[in-house]
Amino acid sequence: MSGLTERLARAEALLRAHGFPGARVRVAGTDGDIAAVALPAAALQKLVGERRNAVVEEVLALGFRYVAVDLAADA
Amino acid sequence: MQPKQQRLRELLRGYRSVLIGYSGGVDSVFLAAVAVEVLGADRVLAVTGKSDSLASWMEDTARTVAERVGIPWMEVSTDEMSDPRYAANPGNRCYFCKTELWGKLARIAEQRDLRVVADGSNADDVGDHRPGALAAAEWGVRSPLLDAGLTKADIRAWSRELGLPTWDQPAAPCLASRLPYGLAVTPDRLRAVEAAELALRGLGFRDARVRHHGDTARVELPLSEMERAIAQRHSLVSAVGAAGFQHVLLDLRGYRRGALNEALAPQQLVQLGRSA
Repeated sequence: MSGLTERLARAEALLRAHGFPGARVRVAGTDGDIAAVALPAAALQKLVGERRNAVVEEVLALGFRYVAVDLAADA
Repeated sequence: MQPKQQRLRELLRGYRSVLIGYSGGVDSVFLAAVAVEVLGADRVLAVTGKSDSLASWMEDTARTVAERVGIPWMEVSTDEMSDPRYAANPGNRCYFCKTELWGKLARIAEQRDLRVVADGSNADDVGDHRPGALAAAEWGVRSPLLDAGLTKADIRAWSRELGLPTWDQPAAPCLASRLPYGLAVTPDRLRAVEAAELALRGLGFRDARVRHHGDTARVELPLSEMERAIAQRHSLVSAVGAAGFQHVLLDLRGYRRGALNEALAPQQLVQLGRSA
């Protein structure tokens, strides 16, 4: 799998394609295996709702073990 | 379920007396209650292994249910944390913990003339990654619920008929299961997980798992609670943050049983019914 920076950029790009223009993705966890998504508050329900399945599948396919939303990031 | 009930009673009668590894969870509470019904209280002893990896609320459940149901009960301290092979948190961590537990329980059974040591493994546990089952097999521990073919659903249904308060209790594996393999098990980390999950229960998230990733908590919730978690995210962040985490993440895949085993390669998996 490609370098981390590129994987993060691809994760942000796919989130944009799903209608999350403000998405930021960073890596988290002691093993660096979590893609942590930060979104504007208004978009959070859409991410855990209608878009959840597709986003999970596509982000994990980039080589992350987990994909999670940062609950404090919109503050 | 009639034939399974009959089979379980037959198995227990055949034991004549039994010591049960008793965590306060749905399965072992049920097993102990049926054992008392079949063998009588003077031929049954339920023993809880107490260490930092047992959540306090589980210990309370174990004690109070034993009192309420009339199950003879005692607690014994286990010392798995001082075994470096356990503390390093390898993929077969449970093997070292259960070796310590069953070793202690086997000695108690011997001292008290109890003929069989049994656990609450059930038919649904077959196929999961369960290195602890290997230790149980090495110590000759029997699994009558599994042998009778009882599934988790059977056990919950029968528990309800028996009036056991645990019938709808969420599954509650030990706290160390919230640490990814390779992240050392320490009392501080276990306490952080316990405090965070307790705080989430306080917010009404009854089935939450807080996975410990160092300064980051990755929270797994049932998918049906994701929307509410977003709506209440500020309370959620303060609750989990107060337990000692700097970052609070909500896993988009939701709660998955045995999720940390996803990091293990197939050859590292030990499955009940294959190893035992």
